[in-house]
Amino acid sequence: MSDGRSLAEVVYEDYGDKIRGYVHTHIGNPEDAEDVAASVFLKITERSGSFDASKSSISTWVFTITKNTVIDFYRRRKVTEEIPETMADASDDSLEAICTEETLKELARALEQMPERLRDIIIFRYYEGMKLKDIAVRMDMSYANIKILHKKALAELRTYM
Amino acid sequence: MGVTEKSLGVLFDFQRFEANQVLSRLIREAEERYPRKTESSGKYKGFRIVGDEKTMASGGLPDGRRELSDSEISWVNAAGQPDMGDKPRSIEEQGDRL
Repeated sequence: MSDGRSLAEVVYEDYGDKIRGYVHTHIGNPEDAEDVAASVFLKITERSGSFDASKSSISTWVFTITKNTVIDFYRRRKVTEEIPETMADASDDSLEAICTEETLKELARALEQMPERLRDIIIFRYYEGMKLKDIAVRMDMSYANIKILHKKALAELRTYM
Repeated sequence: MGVTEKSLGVLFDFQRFEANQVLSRLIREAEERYPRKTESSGKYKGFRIVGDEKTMASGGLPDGRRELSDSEISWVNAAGQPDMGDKPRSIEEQGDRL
């Protein structure tokens, strides 16, 4: 790296908290989470020689390894039903490619411009992974109304992204 | 970009990793506006009326009812009066109906 650090050192120092935070978010048991995080760091060290900066950013590369390691953990435990639907199929490269800091900034800008109610529905549905009927209860609205507003929210978001 | 539902899920999952500050703030604000209910439906369940944290914090349910205590619930069951109405009455008040 240009600052003299190895890629593994950069990842450990600059992304260590993000890796651990993400793993702990998805894996409730602290011991399992620590094991999985350790696996992530090991994989990154092993694969650092194959990282290609022309194909993806360090952030995207690290995120992909972290996410796939979490998915592997669930598959090994044969509890695939617990894999959140927000975690994309590991083989879907087109979705992996959108995971950049810039795209997140774009999403943030888009959501800021949306009406609060529509924004909240998007957050509850896609960040918290809630079902629409549960969002309806949380926001004290009818299910029919939430379905309409959810469609409206997606349509509005698509005008920005 | 042509955002899809799947790509939104992926992006928000990436947010759990990258933690964009603006998004974190918007998420926090949404959660403050609509805190998670203590029970998912917030509907009347038997004799225990559960409301959302905001309503309960303001002193009760919109229609004036309040959550019954455990002793009130067991008393109601013992008295065989499932329909308590809006306000629980003391044993003394209910005396002539026992």
